[in-house]
Amino acid sequence: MHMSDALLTPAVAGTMYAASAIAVGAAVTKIRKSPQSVKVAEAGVMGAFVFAAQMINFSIPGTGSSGHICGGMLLAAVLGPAAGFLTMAVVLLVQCLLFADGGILAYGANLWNMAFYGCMLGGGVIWPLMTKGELSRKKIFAASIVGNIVALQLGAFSVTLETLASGITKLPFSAFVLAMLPIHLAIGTVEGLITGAVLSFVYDTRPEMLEVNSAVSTSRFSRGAMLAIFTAAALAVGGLLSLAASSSPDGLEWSMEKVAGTSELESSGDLHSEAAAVQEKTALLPDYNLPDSESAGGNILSGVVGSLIVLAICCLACGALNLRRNRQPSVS
Amino acid sequence: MSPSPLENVIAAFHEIERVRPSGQPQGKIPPVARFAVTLTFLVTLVSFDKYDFPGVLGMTVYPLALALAEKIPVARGLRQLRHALLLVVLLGIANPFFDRAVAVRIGTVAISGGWLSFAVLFLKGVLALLAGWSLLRLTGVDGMARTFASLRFPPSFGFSILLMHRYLVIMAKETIRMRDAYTLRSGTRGSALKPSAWGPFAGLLLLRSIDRSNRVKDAMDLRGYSGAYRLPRPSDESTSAGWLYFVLWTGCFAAIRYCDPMLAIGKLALEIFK
Repeated sequence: MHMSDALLTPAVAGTMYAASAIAVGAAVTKIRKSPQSVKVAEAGVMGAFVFAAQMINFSIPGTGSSGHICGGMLLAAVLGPAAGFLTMAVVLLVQCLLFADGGILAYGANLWNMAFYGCMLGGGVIWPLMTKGELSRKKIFAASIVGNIVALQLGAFSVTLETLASGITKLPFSAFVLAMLPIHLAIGTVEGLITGAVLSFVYDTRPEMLEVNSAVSTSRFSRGAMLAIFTAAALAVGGLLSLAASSSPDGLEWSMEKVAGTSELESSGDLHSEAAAVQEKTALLPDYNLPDSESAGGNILSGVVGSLIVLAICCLACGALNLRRNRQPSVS
Repeated sequence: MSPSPLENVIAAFHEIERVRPSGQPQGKIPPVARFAVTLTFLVTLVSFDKYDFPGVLGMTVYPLALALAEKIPVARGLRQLRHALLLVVLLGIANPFFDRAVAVRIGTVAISGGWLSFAVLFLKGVLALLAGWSLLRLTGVDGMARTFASLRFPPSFGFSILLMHRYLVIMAKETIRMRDAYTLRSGTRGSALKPSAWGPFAGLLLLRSIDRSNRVKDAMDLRGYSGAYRLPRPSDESTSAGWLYFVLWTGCFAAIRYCDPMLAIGKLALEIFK
């Protein structure tokens, strides 16, 4: 799933760099709170382990072929999501520079597609949720399989969106998705089984290594973490998934076309004209795109801007409500 | 018997140290200047329109210069990198089927937009791969770590790369020994692990790696590691040479991007052969 530079435009590559930089910053901030030397040593040596482990061929019974692990969720389960993410960042960088496996310009996208989903989502959200309470081999296998499948599916979907947003290929969105997702479902399942087998061995041999990271999960997410997760999800849905929105008419438009023969009724009257004039002036991104444009980039921009504006208004509104509540005298 | 992927990794790491131009005039250029030029090259390369084949062809001047002046083995690089072009080819091969309108005619031969965009995509892929592949060979791992320090990356990032560089060969050799032991004891012909060995093999390697990282951590603490590291700068490196290198190449890329020299060369060639 390593993307080459040729598959991205500077705008898309820059956007993914910005997103990955935020994730790296968050991981480094978290690592700074732990003893520095522990995490640096882990990132360096474990990065070498991941590199070596990726070269091991695991025979897939019944297929005659073999697979190999990526290692993101494995690292996150053992080292924690932040240290695992930093380690994968180093591994991907060395792969990019040494083997040209993934471009320098595409490094931000590759980091997001492989390390972020694998370590932060798979290892940081799915693993703790599914291994809550007392660990068992069943929970380890289930969490490994689900986490790897989700991470690889999201990674493959992101590759599709990033390539289409760059306008590199003429392949239709549906064909592209149908080609990428099933293959990565199979890869994710195999990787999940291998990861589960390795973590089960670690659990049998040194259970404390996995229990440390699972125990952390019994505490609730902090408010800041929840805010960050939902903000990222909103930006991802509004900015990227909006490209997958159907262009078919919605229920109302479909009904109007059947009844009136048109999906837009002309309005008459001064009030309607004035309202339309105001809307024309204020609509910076008409029809969820740049003015007089139908580009994918405009779609993404409108989704991101819209999400951020809604977030800002909600924060301001909640802040104002809190302020008002704090000023009112409490009734005892 | 062809070398295994692990042996290829070890060979690739040893090769980095052999190719670097230390002690030569090119050795004066700081690694951060090379990194900046490579980044500028890549941004310029991918900014060309998907049908602009002459423009992208003009950008081959950079890898050619690296091959001639810096003695980078470009041909060997292309052989090693052919697998990395697979995704580019798979995505681009759909273009001729969906974009059939004639984009250009060469004599009586009509070339569709699909084939033209596929050719542009493939050429961009090749040039981008060569540029990235050449960078580490010109700067070395220490040079890249100094580059990240210059660019104010977190110190833990650069130091992790240095540690990984030192331990990759060790871990790869350890994995080869474990794999050979498994092959000899299990009686299997190939080196692929059976499902019953997945957990113990990779798990044991994982635990050994964790133990090694703890020993490295103890060694770092005993030597007073505080989060910062210093890498010696070679005495022949020159900041002014780096700036000159960056400015000249950036100017060259800007000229190729905006002045269309390939079109001018084509017109001149037509005039000469008319």
